[in-house]
Amino acid sequence: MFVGVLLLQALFVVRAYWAPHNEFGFQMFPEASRWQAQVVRVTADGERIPIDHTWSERVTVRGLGHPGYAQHANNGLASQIAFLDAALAWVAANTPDDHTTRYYEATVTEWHNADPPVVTVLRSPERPLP
Amino acid sequence: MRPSLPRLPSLALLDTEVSTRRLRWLCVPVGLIAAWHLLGVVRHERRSRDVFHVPYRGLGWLPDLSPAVFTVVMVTGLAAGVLMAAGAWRRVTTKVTFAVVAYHLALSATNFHHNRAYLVIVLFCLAATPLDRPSAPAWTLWLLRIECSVVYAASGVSKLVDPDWAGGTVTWLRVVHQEAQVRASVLPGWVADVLVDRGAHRLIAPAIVATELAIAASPWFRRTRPWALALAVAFHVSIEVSSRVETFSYLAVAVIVLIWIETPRLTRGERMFDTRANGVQQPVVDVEGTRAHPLRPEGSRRARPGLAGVECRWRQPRLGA
Repeated sequence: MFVGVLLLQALFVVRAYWAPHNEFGFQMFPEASRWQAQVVRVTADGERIPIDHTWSERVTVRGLGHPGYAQHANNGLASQIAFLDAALAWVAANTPDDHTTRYYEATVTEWHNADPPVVTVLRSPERPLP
Repeated sequence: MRPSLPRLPSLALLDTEVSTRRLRWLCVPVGLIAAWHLLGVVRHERRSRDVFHVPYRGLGWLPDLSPAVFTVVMVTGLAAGVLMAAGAWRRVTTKVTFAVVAYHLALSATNFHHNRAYLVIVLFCLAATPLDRPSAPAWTLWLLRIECSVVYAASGVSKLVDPDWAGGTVTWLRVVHQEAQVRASVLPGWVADVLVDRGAHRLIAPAIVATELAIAASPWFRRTRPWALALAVAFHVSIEVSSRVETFSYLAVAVIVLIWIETPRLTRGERMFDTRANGVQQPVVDVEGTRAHPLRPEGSRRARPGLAGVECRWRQPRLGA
């Protein structure tokens, strides 16, 4: 048991150098990076509608409820962007009463430490519409 | 004449019985910290399955509980944490607290925070120890000591290999992003000026990295141990003042102090093993400090501390014995 736990711990510490959330890797305060995202839902006819309070009621953690203002990426940018990407997919898959949205899209501005900003676009899987 | 090599303690050391006194004391702060953590979960995360969450691959078999059942489970863990801190049925309450805190952590990647991971590790070590007995195999205490060092070493090394961190960019930007709060704080103006100065962070950041590495390594040596504990307390006070890290500061200080500090109250019963000439460790005193076998004064040399301060008293076999 003792050796097994230590081997597992060593694995987690090494894995943390590429895993976005670095679970049990103990890479604390890894970056001073910031991020900000404009999240919209894109309807079947191409209209881009900014998210409203229904998003922040469903996405309550990791600073994702209000992505529109620049925030510190607590566990690093990779973790934050992975969570935002997962949140887009989760909301798209868990809003069965929404019959108009085709997909969710986030235009993300990332400031990795002192580097120049980088803009990326994330998109949820497309939803089947009636 | 061949030079004699120093003898290293074998893994049999892990199975030797040591007093559970340290870990029983550790139950008090850890039980309260776990209860405090679970209170927050009960208050804010009852609808966890109805809001965004990220189940771990491979852990899909974990039951996705309804809000009512989830609350009952978390309150059970909370009560177990309080009872564990109070010293009641520790063998059961440590396991229940560990199970509930680990379940919550494993439910979703969004629940992951380093302080919670450390709490799970500490609870595992406590749950794996038969705390209702005065003595137990030493491996859980050793594991906890190693894990304690791993936390600081992993953090320190990750910063050391990151040029942005080691060069001070990260710490400087963290302060600059919060300059208004820094200047509005109780800190004197000249301290705030130093903290927002880019050049100062070329010294501050390496000092932080060195501190983490020192806290990881120093407790393993008796001479540096008191300094390591003092450094750890000061380090976590500074973190608690400057950052929001949930219960990490309290947990980290409680663990490192209680598993390493040497006071008669905690170490009584740890000096209890004697290595005879045949290499077999024999109990010298029992776990409560009562002599079971008298030390042989004629064979004693200078007592060497055990590898991790478990305070084993080693006795060198005499040549030709």
